[in-house]
Amino acid sequence: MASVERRAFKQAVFAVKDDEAALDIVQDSMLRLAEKYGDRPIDELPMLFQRILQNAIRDWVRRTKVRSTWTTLFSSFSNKDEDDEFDILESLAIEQSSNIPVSPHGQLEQAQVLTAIEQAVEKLPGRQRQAFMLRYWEEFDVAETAKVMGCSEGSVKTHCSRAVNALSIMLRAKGISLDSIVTK
Amino acid sequence: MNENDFSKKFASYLDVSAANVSADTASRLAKVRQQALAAYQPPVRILGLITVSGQMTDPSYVARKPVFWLGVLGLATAVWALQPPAATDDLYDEAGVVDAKLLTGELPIDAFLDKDFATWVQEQEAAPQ
Repeated sequence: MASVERRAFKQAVFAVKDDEAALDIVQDSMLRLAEKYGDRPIDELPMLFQRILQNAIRDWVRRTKVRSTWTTLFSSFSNKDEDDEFDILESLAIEQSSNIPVSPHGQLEQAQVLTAIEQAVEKLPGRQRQAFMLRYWEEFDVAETAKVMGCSEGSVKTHCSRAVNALSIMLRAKGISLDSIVTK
Repeated sequence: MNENDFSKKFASYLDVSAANVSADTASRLAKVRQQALAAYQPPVRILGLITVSGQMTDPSYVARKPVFWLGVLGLATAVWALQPPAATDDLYDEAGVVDAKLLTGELPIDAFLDKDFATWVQEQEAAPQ
């Protein structure tokens, strides 16, 4: 669990864009895994955990969508004078940047790349992000990813391919090429 | 750079990103893990047949599960339904004995239907022995 908790947290943050909610999601997922699937063989646990985590993220996103629908509906009656051009992505980008600690001078470039990478991941469509994360970060094979996502293997390949394409375009647009970066 | 190479490099950056979570978040995640580990109990084999979560051996955990109470209710219903109708049989037996006495008694059966029979019974009961 120790090895996956931070990755799980980051996955949740990328999806829900809220640290507190992400922590709650990871907590719920871990507790559910421990309480309900303690009888499963140990090698099944990573996939089970991912399935629980992805479901928890999806539930949270759905709940938030429903809540925001009602909020928007009611606010449209009362706050007509507010600025309609408020862009949630802008505020999230600022929030995200403010979370990056002030790095030493030599790590400034890496910090900028990290920020760009995180923002690019956040902007991916949900299913593409999910497929990419499971396939390449959690290192599940196509069949396992398909099982966790509840879709066909073909869909996983398509989502992954589109995600890679979208990410490389987004990074290139910011002048970042992973070819030129030496990873640690 | 092909898809795999790109993804590997990208994932290595995500690893760095995950390692860079704030100290506060890291400690809260560790606390969450401790809670989950505390809730975990190793699986237990019952009679060498089936493996269940270790929590199933904890009565307070089991008692919190609605399915447990549904099971208890089902079991109680089954026990009640399968119980032989002893009381009814006794009733039938008693009725059979009364019938036998009536049929084999000295009085003709019409005597019990007579309007004055009840009066006669009361007089018999009231009369000194």
